Amino acid sequence: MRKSSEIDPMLKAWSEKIDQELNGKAPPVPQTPDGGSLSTTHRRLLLFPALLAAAALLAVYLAGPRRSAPPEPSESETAQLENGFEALKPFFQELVRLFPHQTLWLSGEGSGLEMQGPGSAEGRQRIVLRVELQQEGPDGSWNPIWQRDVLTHEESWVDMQDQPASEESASFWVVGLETDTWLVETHLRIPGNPAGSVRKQLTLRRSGSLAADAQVEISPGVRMVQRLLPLDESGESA
Amino acid sequence: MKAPPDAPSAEQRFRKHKDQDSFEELYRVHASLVYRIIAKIVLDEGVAEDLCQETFVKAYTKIDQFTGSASFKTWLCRIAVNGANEHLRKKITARTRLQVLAADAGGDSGGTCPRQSLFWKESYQGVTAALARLEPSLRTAIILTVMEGMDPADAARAQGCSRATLYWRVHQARKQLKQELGHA
Repeated sequence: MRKSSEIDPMLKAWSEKIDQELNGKAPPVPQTPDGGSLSTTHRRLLLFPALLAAAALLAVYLAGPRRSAPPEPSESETAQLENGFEALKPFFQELVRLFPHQTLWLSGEGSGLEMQGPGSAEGRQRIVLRVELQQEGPDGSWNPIWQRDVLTHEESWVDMQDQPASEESASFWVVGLETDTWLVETHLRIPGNPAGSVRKQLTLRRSGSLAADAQVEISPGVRMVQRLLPLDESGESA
Repeated sequence: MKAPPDAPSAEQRFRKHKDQDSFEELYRVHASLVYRIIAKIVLDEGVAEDLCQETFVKAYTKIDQFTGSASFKTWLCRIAVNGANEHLRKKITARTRLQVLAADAGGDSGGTCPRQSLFWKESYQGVTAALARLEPSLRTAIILTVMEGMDPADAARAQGCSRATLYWRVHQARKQLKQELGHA
């Protein structure tokens, strides 16, 4: 058996190799709000919910160009996402009415819907999550190659598999953090997708009723875009 | 006549003005260390990227709470360590799923998902697996002291514990690793 003194060099050697691999891979500078602390901003926004949505959307647009990578979705893409939520909202509200306090996840893509549940999830925030995989075209535009809308509760695992024998799978987990942000963990395995299986944890800042877009490049020319909409138990935006 | 004060450091400027430039300068100086420490605690460089950014966002929002009793680096490391451990605790709430993933990868990382991580490359796997089996506070202690070479007083502050507790954690970690790796 090795002595303790033999353990430290082994750990240091492991650490140095890991450091070499991690060297230069620190993420880009995170986006921060200008003009005041996050907590102050949040308190103001709580007092003025009407201003909140406008300010949040404005902040997303204004802050966009400072993000280092990857690029923000275009205005039309953003509008498309918002329209998508609006179109689905009556359906979500009806589901919430039919299945109160129950774990229920639902994914929608085109005409297909999948449901799972019920199970008790009383007291947990209900949310709608849109996840989209986009591929960059030769002209530089980003085109969706895979998309899901998921209605679920926070801290509920959503595991979906399109067909029992399918190799395609996706799972999501969302939790609200004390820091006024949402943490979304996503696992995707999509055959033919150059990224293969990806697992990414994204932080979406709460900016009113709608969390700001979060996106991440998962391989050259492929990015994942997420948007989250918290709902109260009546199905209205929180 | 009184001599003009030295140019304020990025930390001093950030505390006073909370401006983007000084924040970015602090990020450039400290991000690499914060990222390394978090990655080794959670044993997943992908998760560490997100937690590293969260650490700096928290530092941004909580800079008013920084009293200067420890160095800015130590204060930042404490936020990073807390964030990484909070992440591991939250992971436990989703345990069923994670256990399946950890089992797939042939190890239990204490709540992380090792499938895609460089930490689970064949050449690193032995030490990674041994570290993964350590309780997170023991793992953190050995990372801060043995791997990152932090002063024990600073490492204790970063972990929010006494120096005696830190020494005990390092001792316990070494003992367990000796048992694990002694047979490697």
